[in-house]
Amino acid sequence: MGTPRTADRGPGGQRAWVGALVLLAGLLSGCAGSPDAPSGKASAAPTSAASSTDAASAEPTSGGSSTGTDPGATTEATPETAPLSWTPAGPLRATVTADGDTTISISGGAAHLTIDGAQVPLPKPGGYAAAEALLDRDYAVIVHQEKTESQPGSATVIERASGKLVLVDGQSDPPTVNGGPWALGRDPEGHALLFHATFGAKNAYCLAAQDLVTDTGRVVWCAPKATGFNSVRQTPAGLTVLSFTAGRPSCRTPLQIDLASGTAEPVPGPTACAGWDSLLTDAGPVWSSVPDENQIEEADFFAATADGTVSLGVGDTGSLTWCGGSAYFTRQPQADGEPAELLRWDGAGLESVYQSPGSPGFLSAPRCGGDAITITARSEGGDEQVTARLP
Amino acid sequence: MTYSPQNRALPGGTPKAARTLLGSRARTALSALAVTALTTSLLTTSLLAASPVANSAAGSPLASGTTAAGLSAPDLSQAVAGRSPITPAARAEIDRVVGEGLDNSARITAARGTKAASTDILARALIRCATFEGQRYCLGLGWTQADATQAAGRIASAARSARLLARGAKAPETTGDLDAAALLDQRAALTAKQRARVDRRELRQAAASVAKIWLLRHQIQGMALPKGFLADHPEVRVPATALGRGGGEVKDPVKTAADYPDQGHVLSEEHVNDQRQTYWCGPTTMQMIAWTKKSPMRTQRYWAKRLRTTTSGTNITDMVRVINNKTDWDKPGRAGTYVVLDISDLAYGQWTLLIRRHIWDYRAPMVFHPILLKEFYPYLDDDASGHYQVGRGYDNNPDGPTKVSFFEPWNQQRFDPSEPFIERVQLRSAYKSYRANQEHFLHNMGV
Repeated sequence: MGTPRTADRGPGGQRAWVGALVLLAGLLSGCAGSPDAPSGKASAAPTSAASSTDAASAEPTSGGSSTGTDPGATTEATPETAPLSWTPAGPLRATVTADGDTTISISGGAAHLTIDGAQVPLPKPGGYAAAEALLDRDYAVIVHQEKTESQPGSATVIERASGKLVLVDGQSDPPTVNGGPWALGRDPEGHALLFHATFGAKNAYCLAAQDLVTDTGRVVWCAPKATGFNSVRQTPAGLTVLSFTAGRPSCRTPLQIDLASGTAEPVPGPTACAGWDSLLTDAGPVWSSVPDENQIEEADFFAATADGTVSLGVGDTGSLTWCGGSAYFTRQPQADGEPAELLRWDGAGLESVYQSPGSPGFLSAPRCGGDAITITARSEGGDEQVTARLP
Repeated sequence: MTYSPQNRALPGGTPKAARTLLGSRARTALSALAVTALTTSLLTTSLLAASPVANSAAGSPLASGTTAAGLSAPDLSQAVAGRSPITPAARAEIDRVVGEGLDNSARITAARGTKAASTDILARALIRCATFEGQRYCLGLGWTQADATQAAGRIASAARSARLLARGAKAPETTGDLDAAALLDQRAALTAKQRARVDRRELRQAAASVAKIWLLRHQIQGMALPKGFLADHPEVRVPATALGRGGGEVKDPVKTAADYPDQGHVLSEEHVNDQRQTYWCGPTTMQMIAWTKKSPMRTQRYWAKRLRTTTSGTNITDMVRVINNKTDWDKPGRAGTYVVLDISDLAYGQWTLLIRRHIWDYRAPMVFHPILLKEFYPYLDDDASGHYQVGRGYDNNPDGPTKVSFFEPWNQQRFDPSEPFIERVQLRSAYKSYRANQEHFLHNMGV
C-alpha cells in the first residue's frame, strides 16, 4: 500500500525501473534470435493472400472477414439507427474528452483542462508529453509519458468537484512503469480507482490500482511469466484486460480479473489466441476476435446474453468502450458509400448512434467522459470532432 | 493538416475540371479530361511517326511493346518512362539552383540555430526549386505543384513545430523518419561544397525522372502532355497490348480503378522484418523492398549506411536514391526512375489509382510515408513520428471500400512490453492510409 505523490514534485528518481523494463522488453520481444533474422510468419489465423511471389498476382485472392464464425454465435444483431444529439467538441488539432462542465484537450503533447469554463493549471512534468486523458463523473486524469518511454509514466489526477490534485508516478507505491495501460474504475465501496501497470516480485508485469479516495495503492494481479497485458476496462460487472504472450504471433486472451482476490480467468467467448476487446456487463461479456492477423484492425464483435451469443458484426479492433452503462464500438464502412459508424450495445439491442459525414471514412475509438461520449470522424464528407450527452 | 475534401483545389497546371474531383467520382471526370490529353498525344504522335527511335526493350517485360513513337495510336495509360537524359537545359537549371545554394551559404551559416526566425531563413535558403520541362522539383520535398515559397513554408512550419516540441520534450516517439527540423539542420551542417554536391546529385536524379513525372501527372491527374513529349522522350515505352497484363480492354485513355484486376501485390510475404533500432524504419523498409527471390536479404545496417541514416532518421530523398541505385525496381520494365512525389494535390481516388498503377502496371513496390498516429493506426500504443512502410498491394474489395497491403517495419513489442506482436504484413482501409500519408508534414511518397 502506498501514497500517491503530490503534484509539486518532478518525476525524478525513476531510473531504477529502466533496467527492469529493458529486461522485460527483451523477454517479451523474443529477440534472442540472430540480428536481422526475418520475422517468422506463423499466423494462427488464415491470411488473405493466396500466393507469395515477387510479381503481381493475376489471380484474385480471398480476403475479408466473416461474422458469425464464432462457435457460440447463435443470432446476428442488425443495428437500428438511433443517433445521439451530437455537438461540436472543438477543433480537430486537439483530442478532446468531455463531460458536462469538464473538458480535457491534448494537442502537441500538451494538455489543457477546463472545469466550469475555468482553465485548471496543471503541472508539466519535465521531459514528458501528455499522451492520454481519462474522465469520469468525479475525476479527470492526464497521463504523461516520457518521449522515449525510458522513464515511468505519470498521471495527474484532478478531483472535479474540489480541484484537488495528486500525482501518481514512478515513486508512488506501487510505482508506475514505462508505457502501459491506464484506466479509471471503481471498487465495490464506490471508491474511484486508477489502474496502471507496475512491476511486482521478480520483475513480474502487474496491474496496480490506486484508490483515489484513500490515496493508497496495491497490486491487483500479475501477468504470468513471458506475458504482458493492456486494454484494462472496468465496468460495474467486473474488470478485464487483454493478456498476450511474447510469441510471434502473440497468443492474445482477454481475461477477467477478480478485483478482491486477484485471480484471473479467460473471458468466455473469444476465439483461442485471437481475442482483443473485452468488457463485462450484467448480461455477460462483450468481446472481439480478430479473424485474420494480417488485417489486425478488423475484428468480429460478440455479446453474451441470457439467451446465448449475439453476433454484433464487424468492428474496429480496440475500439470497445464502456460508457454510461452501455458498450460502444466503431465500424468502418463495409460497403461503398456506407458511412463509418459508432455502435452501442446495451445488453438488449444494437444501435447505430453516430455516422460519419461521408464515405469512405473512419472513426477514432470513442472517448468516455462519464456521462458523455466524444468521437473524431475523418471522411471524404469532411472531418469532425463531436460529443454527445448519454441518455 | 486539416482535411477538407471539398476545398482541395488543385494547384496551377492542373485542368480546371479536375478541381472538384472527389473520391471515386473523380474517375469519370478524369476520363473525360484524358480524352483531350489523348487527342493531343495522337496529334503529336502522328507528326512523329517517321521519327526513328533507338530504344530497345529486348529482355524487358515490355519487350513485346512498341516504342512510343512507333505506335499509330498509343495507349499512354500503359506508358512507362525510363531514365531521362540530362539535357543542356536541365543541366543549366541544375547549375542555377546549385549556384543559388552557394550564394546562400553565408545566410545558411548565420541562420543555423533553433530560433524560429532562423528556421524560416534556413528553409528559404535550403528548400529551393528547379523547373524541368515545366514540372517543379523542390529540394527535400520532391516533385510538387507548390511553388518555392509554399514548399519552404511547409517545411519551415513543420520544423518550428518540431523544435517547439523538442524543447518541451514533447516530441512524439520516433521510428526513423527525419523530422523537418533535422532535415534542415542536416543540410545546413554541411559545408557549402558538400551541400552543393548533395543538391546537385538530388537534382540530377530529379532531371532523370522528368518523363516519369509527366506521365504520372497525365495518367493519374489527367494533365495534358506537352507538345512533342513523345519525340523528346524516346525513353517512354508503351506496351503493345491494351492492358500490359491481365487482359481486358481499356475504354478510356486514362485507366480507372475499374480497369484493374480485383487484387494485386508484389514482394513475398516471407520477406519481411521488423526494425532493430527505433530509428531504422528507413533501412528496414529498404531491406524489405530490396529483398526478392533474386536478391537476398541484406542487413539493416547495410541499408542504414547506404541511406546515410542517423539517429535522427532517414530522408525520403535518400530512400528514392537508394532504390534507384541499388535495386532493379527502377528499370524501365518496372517503375522506371523512382521519384519523390508530393501527394498533397491528389484526391483519394487519384491516390488509389496511383497505387493500382504502381502495383499492377509497374509491378513494383512504393515507399509509403505516413505519420504514425494512433488515430490512423489504432493498434499502436502511442502516437509516433513520421514513418516509412512498404506499399505492396491493393484489394478492390468488391464488397466494400478499397484496401491497401503494406509491410510494417515498426514492431512496438520490441520496444514496449505492453503491446502484443502485430504481423508485419497488413491489409487495411486504403482511406486510412491515404489520410495518414496526407497528414505527414511533407505529404509525399516514393513512387
